[in-house]
Amino acid sequence: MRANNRGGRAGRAVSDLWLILVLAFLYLPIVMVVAFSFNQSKNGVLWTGFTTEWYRALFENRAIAEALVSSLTVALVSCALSAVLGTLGAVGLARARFKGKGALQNVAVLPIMLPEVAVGLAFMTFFSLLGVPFGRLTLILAHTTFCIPYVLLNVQARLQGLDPALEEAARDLGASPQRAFFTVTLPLILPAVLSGVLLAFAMSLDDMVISFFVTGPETTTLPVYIFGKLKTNVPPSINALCSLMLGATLAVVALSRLVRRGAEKGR
Amino acid sequence: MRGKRGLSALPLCLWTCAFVFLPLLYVLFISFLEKGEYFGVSRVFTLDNYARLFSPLYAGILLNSLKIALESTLLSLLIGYPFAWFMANKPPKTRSLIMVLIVIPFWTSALMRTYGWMILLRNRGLINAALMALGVIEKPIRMLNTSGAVLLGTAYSMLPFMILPIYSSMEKLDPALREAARDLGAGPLRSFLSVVLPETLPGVMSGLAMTFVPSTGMFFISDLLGGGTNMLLGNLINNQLTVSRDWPFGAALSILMVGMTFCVMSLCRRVGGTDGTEVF
Amino acid sequence: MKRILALMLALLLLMGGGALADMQSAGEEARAQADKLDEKERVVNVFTWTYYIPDEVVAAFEDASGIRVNYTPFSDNESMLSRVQSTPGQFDLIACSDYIIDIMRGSDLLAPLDRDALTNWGNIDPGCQSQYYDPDNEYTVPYTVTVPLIVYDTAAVSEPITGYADLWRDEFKGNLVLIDDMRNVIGMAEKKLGLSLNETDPSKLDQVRAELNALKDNVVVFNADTPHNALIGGDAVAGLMFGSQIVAAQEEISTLEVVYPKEGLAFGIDCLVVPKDAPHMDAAQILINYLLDGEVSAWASALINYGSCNTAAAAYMSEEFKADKSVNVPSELLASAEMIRPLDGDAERLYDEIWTEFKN
Repeated sequence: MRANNRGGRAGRAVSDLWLILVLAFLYLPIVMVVAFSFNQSKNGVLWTGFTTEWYRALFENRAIAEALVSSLTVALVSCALSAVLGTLGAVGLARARFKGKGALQNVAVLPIMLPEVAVGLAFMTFFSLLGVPFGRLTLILAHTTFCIPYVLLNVQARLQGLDPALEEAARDLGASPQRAFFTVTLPLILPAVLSGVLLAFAMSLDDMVISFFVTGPETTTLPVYIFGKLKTNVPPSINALCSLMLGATLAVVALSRLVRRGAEKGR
Repeated sequence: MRGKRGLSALPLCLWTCAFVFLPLLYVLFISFLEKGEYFGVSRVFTLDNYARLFSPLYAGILLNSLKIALESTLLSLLIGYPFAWFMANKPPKTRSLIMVLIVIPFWTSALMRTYGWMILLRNRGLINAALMALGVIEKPIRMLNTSGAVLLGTAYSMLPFMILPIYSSMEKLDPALREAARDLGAGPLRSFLSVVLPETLPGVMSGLAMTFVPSTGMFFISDLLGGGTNMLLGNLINNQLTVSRDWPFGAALSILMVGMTFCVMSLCRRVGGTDGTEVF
Repeated sequence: MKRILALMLALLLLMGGGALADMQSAGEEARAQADKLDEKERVVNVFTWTYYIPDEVVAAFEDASGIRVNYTPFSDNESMLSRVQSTPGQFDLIACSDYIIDIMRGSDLLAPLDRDALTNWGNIDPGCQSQYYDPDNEYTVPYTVTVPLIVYDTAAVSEPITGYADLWRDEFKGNLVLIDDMRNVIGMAEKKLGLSLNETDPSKLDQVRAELNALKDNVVVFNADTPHNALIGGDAVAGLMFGSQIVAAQEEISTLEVVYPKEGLAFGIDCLVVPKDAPHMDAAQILINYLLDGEVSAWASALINYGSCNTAAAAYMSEEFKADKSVNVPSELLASAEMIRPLDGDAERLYDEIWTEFKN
């Protein structure tokens, strides 16, 4: 790229330094979480000595495993739903001109704007008025609702200023609207959909407050299980769990890159 | 034909009406009711909950929240914008790696990440210990339980929400545009101001939309990193809806945040240009 | 077959197998009761704070009785109540605090307990019974006594603390940690002024407000869950917190001193209750009865470090645990301690404003 031509090497050094420093900033507290999964103390304040005890405790805990499965199921389903609804919505909003378009967008993003307690209580009252059985279904409905804004806002940022002539050209060449969307528009906005979904996944996996109000006694998600907080410390096995999940995610990322590199070499 | 093009927003429209609009109507409804004797609401109409918003006590909390939200949003913009810029100038493969690397920390629970910060910032925490071991300081400096820590924690939590939309709008930026500007004799600053900034403004606005209002409502960060001595809007709402058992007042405060959201969103649309002009 | 198992267990015990096998009599009784239930009745949906009924105890109960326990944790009494009111028929056994039980009973949400099923009823400490929220002991089984106490680091404080008033000293500027609990913290100022914890007179509450404003600069941390971490991390040198939290701090700091404030103690009682619409009422009573067993109760208390309401538990507690000042407050002090009660609407709003002002 020409961007750094002027500054040359110095420019590139500044750019790399900034990237590395900010990433380090993002990972700093995570490193602490991982380090303290090996700490002897239950309190997680001072380092008192090395142990792997908490990993052992983690594997003996049936409830955590069940909660993890619940959490992942809910997060995956809600992310898929919100990806579809959010992307189509963003495209539709960009093209359409109808009264109340702005209002629709304003209302759609509210679930991530208001404090979770307010959203959670509103969902709870609403679902109980409707008579929906509380459990996985209500969790998915609620999570999808607060995942949509992340996809919507990311895709909208991307759509803005994208050349409409591209899709029109495809249409002129005889492509159906669906085909034009899938072959022209979607590939262009895919990175934004992806980054929106990544954020949505993070928020779904992490949500405690809203989930608390919309779940039933048989489904407990991980954050609800862990952070019923009060009266005790967060047990270090939770640090251990976070570390394992982080490790697994990083492994998947590394692996997918290796696979991709392999595929490119093979070509 | 044009009319049909907005049709793909229909599912979103229906979903939003069903699961956001209707539940919020209920919130609006109870914000006009009186608090029940011990719990819940009693069906007596009142405007008192909104009148309370203007008392100096609550107005002060609101202003303080807006200040912290503004500061932390600006801070994450200052960190995030250059980051997105540098990231967009990397080769595509590196870009996608960085994008994933930004999000991964946020797959670890927010509460756990906050505990991570607490380990670092305490008086007997890692940073103080390191500084004392190096002889930079003699007595620990208070870092945890300060408003600075709240600012840091809030900006930290908002960073990916700021970076990713800005990056989304930069990544599609045509490098030829910038070159053209430069060929016409514009300096780097002018080419940035006249070409890059306007093109990336929608991203900045999406980022602001995703961060500003939520950062007034993040209660556990000010509780854990600020020691709970700075009450923000989020803490106030949380308290009213739980320990104080005052649902109507909590609802009125939530409606206030709905209003704030509408203002921020329309501002972002106007400045970011997603308003009015037809794209596609 | 059962006998062989029991024999093997006894053998294990002899070999120094630990505490697990001890709960045998309670477990066998639970089993006998559970056997009378239909297969699909053998479930209990428990709703309480994380680990308040410890995981180990839950697991031992499940193993012994064959009843499955679904444990849903909540973070505060009020969130619990919202859910119990809005989504009926979900929970069978709830452990929660005195004042919220009063509201639940007033809203007709609780089922009377079946004393015939609760064979261990006699183990309950009568001192914990007949409270305002359940004068005739129809609905509640007291589970724990909760007492907020003062704790300070003797290594960092100039002269001993004897009461709440000492926390107002200048040396504690930016050095106090308090539990994030409206009534208990306002209660300190009330006790300092010689008022009741349930004072409703607005002019007296104005004095309380002034006292608290004078304390404001001393407080550096409010924390509901882990106030002890502020002591361990060196962020505060003294404070007010619950006994179990003090125990956690003492694990890492040896110079901590616990104080029973001379102005008088506040105390609360957390109870086990069964909601009226509980889907598995019988199984819930079996679990309550199991928790009432002296041995089980002693085990649970030692795990969560809360004072026990069980007279039969003392026989199974270690001397060290019984002597722990933070957990076991002498009964003569408890007898003169005051309980926090629900307030009427006007007073409640005043308290709330005092609290909001103090915390801001």
